[in-house]
Amino acid sequence: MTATYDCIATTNPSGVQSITFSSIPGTYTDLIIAGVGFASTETYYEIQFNSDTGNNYSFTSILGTGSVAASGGTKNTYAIGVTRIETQSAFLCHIMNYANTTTYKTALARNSNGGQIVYQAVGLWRNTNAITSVTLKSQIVNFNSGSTFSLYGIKAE
Amino acid sequence: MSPILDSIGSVKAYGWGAFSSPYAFESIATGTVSAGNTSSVITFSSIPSTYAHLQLRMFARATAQNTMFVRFNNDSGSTNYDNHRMNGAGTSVGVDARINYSALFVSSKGYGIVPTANIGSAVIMDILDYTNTNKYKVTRTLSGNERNTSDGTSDIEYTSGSWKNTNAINRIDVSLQTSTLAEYTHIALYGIKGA
Repeated sequence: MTATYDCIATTNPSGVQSITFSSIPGTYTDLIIAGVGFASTETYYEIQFNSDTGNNYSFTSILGTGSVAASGGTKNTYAIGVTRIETQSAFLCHIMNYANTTTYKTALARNSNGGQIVYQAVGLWRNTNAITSVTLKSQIVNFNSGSTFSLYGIKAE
Repeated sequence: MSPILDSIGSVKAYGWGAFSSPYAFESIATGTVSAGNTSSVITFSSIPSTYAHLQLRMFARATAQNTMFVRFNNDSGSTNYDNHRMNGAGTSVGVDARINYSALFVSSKGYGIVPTANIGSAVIMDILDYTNTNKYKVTRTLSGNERNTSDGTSDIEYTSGSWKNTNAINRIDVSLQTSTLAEYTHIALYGIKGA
């Protein structure tokens, strides 16, 4: 049995609209971004891999607001939508099998915002390259003070 | 209590999937399907009872679109599992249940585990309190497959399951309902320690 779940990096951004985890080692099996985001107004967090800003991503989501359940799909787009932030929200994003060079990359995200919504999504990056950097962007406004994001690596034995 | 409880900064986080101490999460074993091969089942046997919870993390592919089955202790009894799920297929939200079923099922509401080239389904299943011999076993699963399609064949699901048996879990079988696991399938079993 091998202990795993290593914290690779943590950042606490404020006043910027994106952060990047770069030089990610290829020695893990899955990556996890764990974060708490604060914003001045509603925004969406998106992830991109390896600085690819082309329309090479897609995602399918489901959300519940307390009174409404809905599902959406965004195809051939520039990023994977991993959260919807009202003013604060916690989320986890699992990037599966990120270092393999044979298949496209799939991510699962779950976002809980106690005041407004619960959101889950599956996303695809149509690229077989190993992921070496992950950029997390706020679509509308900057990250506010109090935002914190950590990148973890999990290694299968 | 959640299997995973910790904090980031001043914010406590409860639940699914992360935030654990690095040393509370251990890799137990991994099953893979190598290039050019298929497998009818991936089995984790002789699972140690030294953890509080288990987690399966999968990147799964199929030779034909299909539902994934997960069974415990080689139990395929026709009424021994219960399942509830909700899913989003991009345009619609669905909920349903399979009560008194023969397995825990995963990614079956939408398109299922996919045979599409280069694409796999992602699955994370938490198996809670798996050694307790006083109660049935409960699972929760987040799964999805994204195919860059808008026809309802991309799908995100959240599923709860119950194995109606009080035995400690010492074996897990992962298979597909009628097809086989395809090349590049990667299924890893982790143990999460208790306090």
